[in-house]
Amino acid sequence: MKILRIFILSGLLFAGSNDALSKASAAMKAGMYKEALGHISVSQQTDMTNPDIYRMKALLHEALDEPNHALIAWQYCLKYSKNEILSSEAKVHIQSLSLE
Amino acid sequence: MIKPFLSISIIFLFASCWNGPAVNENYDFTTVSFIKIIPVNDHAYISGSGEMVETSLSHSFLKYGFNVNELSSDFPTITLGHGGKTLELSCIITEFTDSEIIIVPYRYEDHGSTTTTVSQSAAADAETNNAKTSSSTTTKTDGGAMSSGSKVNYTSARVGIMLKMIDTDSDALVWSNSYWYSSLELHRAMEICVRNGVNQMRKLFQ
Repeated sequence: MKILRIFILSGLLFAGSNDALSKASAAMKAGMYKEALGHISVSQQTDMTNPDIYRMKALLHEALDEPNHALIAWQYCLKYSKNEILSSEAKVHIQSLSLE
Repeated sequence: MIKPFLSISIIFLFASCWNGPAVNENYDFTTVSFIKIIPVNDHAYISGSGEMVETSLSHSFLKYGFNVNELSSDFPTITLGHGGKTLELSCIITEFTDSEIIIVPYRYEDHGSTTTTVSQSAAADAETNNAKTSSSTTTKTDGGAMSSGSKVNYTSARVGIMLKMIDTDSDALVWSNSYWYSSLELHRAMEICVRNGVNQMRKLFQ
């Protein structure tokens, strides 16, 4: 019994952040934006410099009418982006959100 | 203290990099009395997109405090001052994508795990009348992987427009600019895209 408990605990503690993003993606497709943001936060713990995840996060904040959070996410997206198209998108959003 | 400063610096940096509109410097916008919104043609792939953008244009002008008239016999008109001049505002939808698939590559670090199993047993000793206990501890360590990669996908919408204003008397192009915006929802992408355009246009008449 003790062994079983230990296994369950380790399972919970080390549940992969790898599938957190899959859950976020599924939640986004279902329109559950708040839940998707929660999963993204988990996935970001192991991939803090991924601009694509910041993009996802920023778009979710915009959809939830949270412009300040969205602005911060776009700024990080721009900071870590090495892709010209993504950087351009971040700039457009930063500009637009700054006007609000 | 540093964070707000950094944010403001970034905003100013991008404000300076922003693609500004093309404006006829010799044109006096204070003499404009009316702006007529010309019907917007549909994007090739989505019927009804023209009407959506046109309605969004009127809505944005109204939201920014302009006087908008929508007579059934004429185009929607924005009434400004008393200069007498009329501008025609036309819009071309350059992009109207409902669901663009975005692939997100990501990596994750498998930190591994440590499992400790503690086994305890107790047995009574007949000779000494004492209970004997024994315990053993086993620790299993899984080193994990340094990094692994995978990808997920989701969809986002994207709308692009090109706006231009022409003086009806001289047929001179006096102002033009293009805008685009992306969002998880098509209506939001369209609304913000149009709003950004109207926001820039209104500065001409202030």
